[in-house]
Amino acid sequence: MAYSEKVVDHYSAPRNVGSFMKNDDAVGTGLVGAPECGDVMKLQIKVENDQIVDAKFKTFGCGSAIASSSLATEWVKGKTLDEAMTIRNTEIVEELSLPPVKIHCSVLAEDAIKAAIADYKSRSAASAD
Amino acid sequence: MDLDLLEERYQQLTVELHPDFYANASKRQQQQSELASTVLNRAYNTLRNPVARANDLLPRLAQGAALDERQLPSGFLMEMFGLQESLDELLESGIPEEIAQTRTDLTERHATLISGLALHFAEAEATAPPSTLQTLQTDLNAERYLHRLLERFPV
Ligand code: FES
Repeated sequence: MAYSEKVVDHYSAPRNVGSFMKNDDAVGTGLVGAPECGDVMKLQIKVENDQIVDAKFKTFGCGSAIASSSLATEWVKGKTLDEAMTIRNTEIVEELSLPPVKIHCSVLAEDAIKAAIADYKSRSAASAD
Repeated sequence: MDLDLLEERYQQLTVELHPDFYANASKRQQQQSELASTVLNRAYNTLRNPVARANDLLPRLAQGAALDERQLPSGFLMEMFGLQESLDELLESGIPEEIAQTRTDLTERHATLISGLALHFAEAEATAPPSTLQTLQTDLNAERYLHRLLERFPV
């Protein structure tokens, strides 16, 4: 199957690949898997004053999943947590021109963002106690 | 399942449905035999692969009961991610013995999971408690992640 130009671009030069220290209080980690195919994705955000100042990802999956997560890290940077929560997989599908069979790959990225935010929130709530 | 019997029946039906038999039949009959062949091949390919068979069978056993298609054994996702990461290093460093060993271990784990499916299915067919059905679903969910790991080894 032919990948769109944008997918190829992200896939061949993924942005923000890597990891932050998991137990850094400013970091939220989202680890998710796609039940459809068994691919896994980790997306991390670094937060200052409710704003995402940096993001990293590592994805073991198809080209579309790698492109989706690469794009997701670019999109969340500079957003507040609330803004980042509103990112929908359909926007990723549109931006990357993903075909229907690759929609679940973009869902993985949306799930990863949400999981990272939830992790950050639960950890900062815990450390506030 | 008796795979020899499956093979035998498949061969037999393939012959019976062979287009040569229908060379002089009506257009309609020819079309029907083609359709039947397609169905036969699909059924055969599903039945002979234990994972495909289980994926097909489970929703039938569950009879519309909602099973959680995302549920995984606890800690499983984290473990899979860790394995994927270490596999990166391993495949890059390329120590053949270690690669072979890891592959053997994962293959065994995958095989154990699949043979476990057969047991759970027998149980589910007998009594079908919802918990067994969910166990099956969870195993099938986990299977895909192991399958993905195994795919990464060079052939
Ligand atoms: S095929 Fe698995 S995430 Fe794309």
